[in-house]
Amino acid sequence: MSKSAELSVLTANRLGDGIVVFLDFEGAWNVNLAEAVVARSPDEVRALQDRGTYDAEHNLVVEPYLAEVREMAGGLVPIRYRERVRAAGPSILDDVPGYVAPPVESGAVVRQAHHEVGDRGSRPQPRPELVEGRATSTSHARAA
Amino acid sequence: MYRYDEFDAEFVRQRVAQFRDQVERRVTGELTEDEFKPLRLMNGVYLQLHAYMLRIAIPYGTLNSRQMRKLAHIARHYDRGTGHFTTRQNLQFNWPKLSDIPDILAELAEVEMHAIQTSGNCIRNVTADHFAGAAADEIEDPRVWCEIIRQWSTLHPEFSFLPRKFKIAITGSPNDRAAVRVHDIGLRLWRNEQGEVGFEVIVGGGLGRTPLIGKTLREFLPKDELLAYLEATLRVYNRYGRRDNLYTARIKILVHEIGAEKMRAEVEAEYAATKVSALTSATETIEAIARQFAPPPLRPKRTKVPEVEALKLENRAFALWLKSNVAPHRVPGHAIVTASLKPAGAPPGDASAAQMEGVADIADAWSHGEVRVSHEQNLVFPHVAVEALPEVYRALERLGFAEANIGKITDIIACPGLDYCALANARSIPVAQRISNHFAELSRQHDIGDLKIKISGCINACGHHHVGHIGILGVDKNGVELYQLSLGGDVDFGRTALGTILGPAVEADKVVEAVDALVATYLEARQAGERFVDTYRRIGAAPFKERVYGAV
Amino acid sequence: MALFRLNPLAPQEPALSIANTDDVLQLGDRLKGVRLIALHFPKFTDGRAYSQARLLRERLGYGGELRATGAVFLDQLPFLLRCGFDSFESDQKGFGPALAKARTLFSVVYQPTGDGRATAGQLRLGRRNSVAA
Repeated sequence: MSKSAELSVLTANRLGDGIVVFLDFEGAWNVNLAEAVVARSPDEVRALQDRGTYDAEHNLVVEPYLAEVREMAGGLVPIRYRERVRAAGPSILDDVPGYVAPPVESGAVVRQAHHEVGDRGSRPQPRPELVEGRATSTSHARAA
Repeated sequence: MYRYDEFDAEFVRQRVAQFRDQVERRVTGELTEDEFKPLRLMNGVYLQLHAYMLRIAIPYGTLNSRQMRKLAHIARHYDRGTGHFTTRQNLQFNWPKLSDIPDILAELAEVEMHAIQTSGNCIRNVTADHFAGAAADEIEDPRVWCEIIRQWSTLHPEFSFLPRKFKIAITGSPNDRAAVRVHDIGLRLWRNEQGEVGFEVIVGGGLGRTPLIGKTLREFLPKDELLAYLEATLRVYNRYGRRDNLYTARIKILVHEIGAEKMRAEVEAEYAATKVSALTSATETIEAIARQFAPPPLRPKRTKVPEVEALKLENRAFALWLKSNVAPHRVPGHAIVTASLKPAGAPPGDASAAQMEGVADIADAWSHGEVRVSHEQNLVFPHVAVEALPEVYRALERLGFAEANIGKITDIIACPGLDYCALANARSIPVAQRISNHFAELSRQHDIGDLKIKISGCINACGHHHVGHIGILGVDKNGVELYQLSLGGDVDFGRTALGTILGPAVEADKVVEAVDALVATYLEARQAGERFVDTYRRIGAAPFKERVYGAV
Repeated sequence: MALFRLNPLAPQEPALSIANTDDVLQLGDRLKGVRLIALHFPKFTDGRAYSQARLLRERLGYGGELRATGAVFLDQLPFLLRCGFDSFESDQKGFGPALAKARTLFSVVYQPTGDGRATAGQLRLGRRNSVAA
């Protein structure tokens, strides 16, 4: 797959509760990566950075930074592995005997990997967003 | 256990008030994040990968049932219903809101708990042997000294901005269950030829990027001189520890660079010049604290109980559980029970609010209200009558904490890893879950015997992988999670050894096969009575390496 | 930089300024007659000056003014005061009022320093002894 143009999203943690957020199309901080606004040019990148600095100084978020992403069929996928985990939430394997998944709070993006029950030693299905290039077919440009 | 008097209670209240003010000033912007960060760290508040994390101190791993119930309440009302017990005997919550934390701390203060100095470049929770006060092989209860150090180190005005964090551990038994030789300062209580009990003072141990085993500074230090000696050591560290580089700032690097001889000379010189009298622990003070750690009144009871014997024959899992999860107590007819927080396939060391409450109930009914947290992320009931074992077992079964796997291959230690931790390079919990699931069958586990797997998601080694019989270190290579295996680490039975890397790192989906290959090598080569690590020491790495890299 | 002195009338000459990498125990005669020593915090997380302060006060018996300079923030005041600092250079908003409150922020201390405050341990002993008496 050819190297796509560098696309970035602005991400940070909310000051009040520390939850991971992305700057979205409406200029609000959104828990969903899918709704993040994507910077496609150096000017846009600079604008995002400025916005991050501004909001950090105004005590809305902490530690803003740019994360590189790729556009794929399923949506935006961060390039760095760490960012994929951060966007998706903890990957604790579900459906295993004895394990009680914690209750999920609204506003949080916590998805659990699927695990095949009963077959000890079988490999759990990796979540698509954690595996490089696993999403299918062509990437198309998102509507501007 | 130690109970607060009005001084302690007043102190934590004031600390909470101070932190509430600091949070308020952060939220209004009066404090910037840079100014606030060291302040929040000193109260155990991290910003992790997904949210804030609050690390609550469980001094020397000792809790009463009331405290455990409060932790359950906090899990339920302020977090997402689960807490995680750590390798330093603390508890972590992964989803607190910053704005809630002063309230959480206020609730903790009600039950004599806090989160003071569980992070930051200061003296952290002093950890002890989780069998303290109960173990049959104990010389003296180390927790008395943990408490004395805890108070002395709390908001110590000179040592709150050290070059780096500072971790102290104490063992009161020759069988070191506190891993004292891999701490910044390790203290070992022992009895000399004159029959006096004193401390061996060991300095400069640690895991992480540069694992090192500590050096003995003092063979025998009279107990009442402990605080003065610690003050001297900390002062030398504060003055001369490196501050130029995060990765070379621990005291172990200072000791390594100037040598143990020079370190000893500096500390002894500083100690000699200190007005020791101010810091000498008065006999009355020691005795007053020691009285608080007096064990509950336990009368010797029958050691052979018909119900236990009968259940052993009927229930194979119970029989195995007695072997692996129950340890001898100093009082006849009693036992130390470890609740396994490693059910097959579960994230190691986690407990839900309901499970915490269940543990509190068991403690009240059968362990004189007391629970301990071990370094291996399990919980311990220190004072259980043998005749109560069947009921305790059934109660633990209902909670999901009765797996007979303590010290066995599925009793895995794993750090939170990339699933939670902002420092991590790779995930550790799913690896632990898969290994645990693969080896779940109990008879097989007991056949394999004692085998400690320790997993860290990055070089900071919070999973203590350097001292695992099998150590697993997660690394990130170009966006792919890889796992490096090491063999032969140890911290048990008074022996401290660092593991040796086996070969190239393996991919995530090959880890279980690799561990399988290691176990198979052992099973084929072992001689009578040899544990995995003993066989490894006898035959060396080559047969293991061949098998693993042949398989993966 | 605003200056806060607990003893505003105390003489400030002769004065000595010490880097936080200097060994105060080597000062020897240079300390004679000095009325003001300024210690330095290059970053507030660099705590070397706390040890310097205690050594000056408690080991060398220095009785003049001891000033904290550099990165000096009000949240460090309880520590600074207990280590023997009695004057502060700081631009932080609210430093003055915080200084006024700093001594009473914590009514209980656990470790002895040169400030002479009775520790919790000492108070407990005293109480036990008076009860026994």
